Amino acid sequence: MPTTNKKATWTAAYASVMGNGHIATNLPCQDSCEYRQPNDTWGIAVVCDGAGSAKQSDKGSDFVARNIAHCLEELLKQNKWDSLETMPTEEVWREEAVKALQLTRQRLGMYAENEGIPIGDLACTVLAVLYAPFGMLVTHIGDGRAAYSTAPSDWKALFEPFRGNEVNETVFITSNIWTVEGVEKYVDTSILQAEVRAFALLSDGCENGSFEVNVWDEANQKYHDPNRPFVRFFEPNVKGMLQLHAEQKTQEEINTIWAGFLKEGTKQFKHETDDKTMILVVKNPVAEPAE
Amino acid sequence: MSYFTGETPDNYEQKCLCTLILDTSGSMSGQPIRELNRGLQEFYAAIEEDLIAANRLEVSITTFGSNIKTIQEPALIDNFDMPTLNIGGTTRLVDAVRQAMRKTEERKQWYKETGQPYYRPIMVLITDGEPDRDQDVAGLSKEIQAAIDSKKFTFWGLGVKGFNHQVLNQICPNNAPALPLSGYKFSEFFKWLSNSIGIITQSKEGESIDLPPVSDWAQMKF
Repeated sequence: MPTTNKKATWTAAYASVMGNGHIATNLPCQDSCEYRQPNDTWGIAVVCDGAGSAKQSDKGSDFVARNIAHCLEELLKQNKWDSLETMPTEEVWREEAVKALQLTRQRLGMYAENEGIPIGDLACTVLAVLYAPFGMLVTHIGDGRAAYSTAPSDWKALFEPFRGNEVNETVFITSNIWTVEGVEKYVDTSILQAEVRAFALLSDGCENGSFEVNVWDEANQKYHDPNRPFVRFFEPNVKGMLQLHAEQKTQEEINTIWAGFLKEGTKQFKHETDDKTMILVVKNPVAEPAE
Repeated sequence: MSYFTGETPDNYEQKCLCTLILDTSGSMSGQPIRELNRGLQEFYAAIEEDLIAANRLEVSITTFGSNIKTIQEPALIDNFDMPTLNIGGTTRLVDAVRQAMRKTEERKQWYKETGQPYYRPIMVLITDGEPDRDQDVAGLSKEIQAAIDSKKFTFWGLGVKGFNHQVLNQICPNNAPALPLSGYKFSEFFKWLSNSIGIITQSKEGESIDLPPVSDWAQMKF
C-alpha cells in the first residue's frame, strides 16, 4: 500500500474583486479572504462574504477573515497539530472550530462597540479550512461553496451551503445563532480524510461561474441545486496554477493574474453583480530526484 | 498568455420578479402618460443591456382605471415587448394592488414548485390620484404591512403630481413611505429602479436595504 506523503508544497491564488453591481453603485467590495501557510504541512484558507445590505460589512468581513485565520493558526500551535501527521477526531475539531468562531464573534462585538457600529452592520458569512496533504478540517456559517479534488477530473463539494427560501437568504456570524440549538443548526464542521491534490473556497458571487447550482432535473421535472463543482472550470485552472508555479511567479503576481480572471475571465464573471472571492490551492508536483 | 481558461457551467438563472401596478385613470392623460410610457421603454432598454438582469428579472404589469388588467404576465423581457399604456376611467387602485399581490404570490408558488431560486419580489405602485370612494384603503394597508412583515415582497409607492399623499402613505409599508415624483421624471425613476435591482438582488434576510439616492427624481420637500 503506498504511504501518504506527509509534507507538500502548494501553490495558492486568492483574491476578492468587486461585482459590477457594487461598481455601479459605489459600494466597497464586501468580500474578504485570508490565506496562510504556517509550515510545510498545514495551511489555512478563509473566505468571508459581507452581507450585501449591511452598511459596513466590508469591515466585518475583513475583520472576521483575519481573526479566524489567526485563531486557526493559534489552534495549530496550541494543540500541536502542526507536528501531527493525522487529523484530529470529529469531536475535537468541532469543539475547537466552534470555540474559534465564538471568540471571533466576541472580538467582532468589541470592535463594533469601540467603533460605534451596530453589530448587524458588520454581518458576513464564514468559510474556513485547515488543510494538510492528508486531509482538511472544514467549518462554515452561511452560504458560499467549496470544492476539492483527489484525482484529475474528480471534483466534489466539501459542504452544503445554508440557504433559505429566497436567493441570498442565509445566516451570518453576527446572526442570533450562538445558542446550543443555533450552533447545532448553523455552524457546520466536517473532516475530510483524503489526499487532496487541489481545493477551492468561494463566495456566492463565484458560484454561478464555477459550480452547477441550478440545473434541470429531467426525472423530477424541476430545477435543482446539485452543488456540483464544474470540472471544466477547475481542471484548466489547476493547469494554469501549475504553470504559474513552474514559472516561479511570486504570490503577488499570481494573485494579480487571478484577480483579473475573477473580474472578467469568463462572461459570467464579467457580468456578475455580486462581489467575487475565490481561493484556489493546488499541490505542487514532487520534484524528480537528481540522478 | 492566459493562464486561467476554466469554462462556465450552464446554470439556469435565479429569478427576480418586479410587479408594476400603474395608474391609467383619466387624470393621467397628456404629459403624465406620455412620460410614463417613455420611462417604461427606457426601463426595458436598460434591463435588455444588462446580461445578468435580463436573465433574472421577470416583469409583470397590472394597470388600473375603471378596469383592472394584467396586461403583462410575469416574463423575462426577452419574451415580450413593453406595451404602450392607454388611459381611461376612475381609480380602482386597491382592487388592482390586490390583483397584483395575488399574481405575485402565484408566481412565487410556481418558482417553488419548479425548484427555481428566487429573490424577494418587488412591487411598485405608481399613481397620481385618489382611489375611488368604494376602495378599501385601510384593509389594503393592513394586508401590505402583513406581507412586508412576513417578507413576501418589497413595496414602493410612487406619487405623481396631484396624488393624495396621506392615502398613498397609508397604503405604503412603514419602512418605505410614499415617494413623490418630481415633475414627470419617470425616466429618472426607472433608471433608478433598474440600478436598484442589482442591490435588491443582493439583499439578505432581515436587513435594511440601502438603495442609490432618489434625488434625481423624487421631490423630497412637501
